[in-house]
Amino acid sequence: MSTPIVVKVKDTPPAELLRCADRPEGLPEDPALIAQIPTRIRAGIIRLARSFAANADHLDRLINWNTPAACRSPEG
Amino acid sequence: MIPALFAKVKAEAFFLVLLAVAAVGAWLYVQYRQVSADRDDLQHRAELICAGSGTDFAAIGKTARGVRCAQTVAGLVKFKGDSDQLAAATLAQAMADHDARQNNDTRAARAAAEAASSAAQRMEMADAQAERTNLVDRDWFRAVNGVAGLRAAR
Repeated sequence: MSTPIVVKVKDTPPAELLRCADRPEGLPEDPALIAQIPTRIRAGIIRLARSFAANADHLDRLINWNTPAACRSPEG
Repeated sequence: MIPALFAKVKAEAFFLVLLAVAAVGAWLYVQYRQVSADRDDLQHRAELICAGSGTDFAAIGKTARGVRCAQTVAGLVKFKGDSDQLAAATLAQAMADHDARQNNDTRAARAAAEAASSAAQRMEMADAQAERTNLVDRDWFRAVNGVAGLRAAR
């Protein structure tokens, strides 16, 4: 008989959008590997790495906002 | 003087009684009309109120008049109370959920920012060492992994 006037609408995005950020393995940390990389390329690699981390953290935060604790915390 | 009046009254006693009875009757009649009009008005209003709630005021079967209507109205009042309560609870829960999310996200954002800032510092130091020779080794790679938040490839 009783129906609330206000109901919570759960508008779940498609599962594909709720996939946590992909974090593959990065560069090898092998002491035997030494490379010569010019400064501008090094700067580019660093930019890529930085934006990768920022975007991945951002995505995980967004997914965690929608479904709490779905993705592990960024520093984990 | 007074005995004469009494005699006259005695003579007309029958008429006086009749007059008194007629007066009382008229008074009663007026009372009856008032009560009757009042009752009709009340019944009419009761029917209107019941019609507003979607039920008949009239008796149905063995149920006395007004009983079903009263039940319906009581149900409506209960419905309104329950609805208000549920709505308030839903809104309060939604607000609490939002606050919890906000707190969790603020914590996650702060952790990410701190991790990024310390990784950036290490990256700067490692890159400064490679500045002159352009030769990069394990430390630099580790710093890049730290900035990207990735673990080392095997």
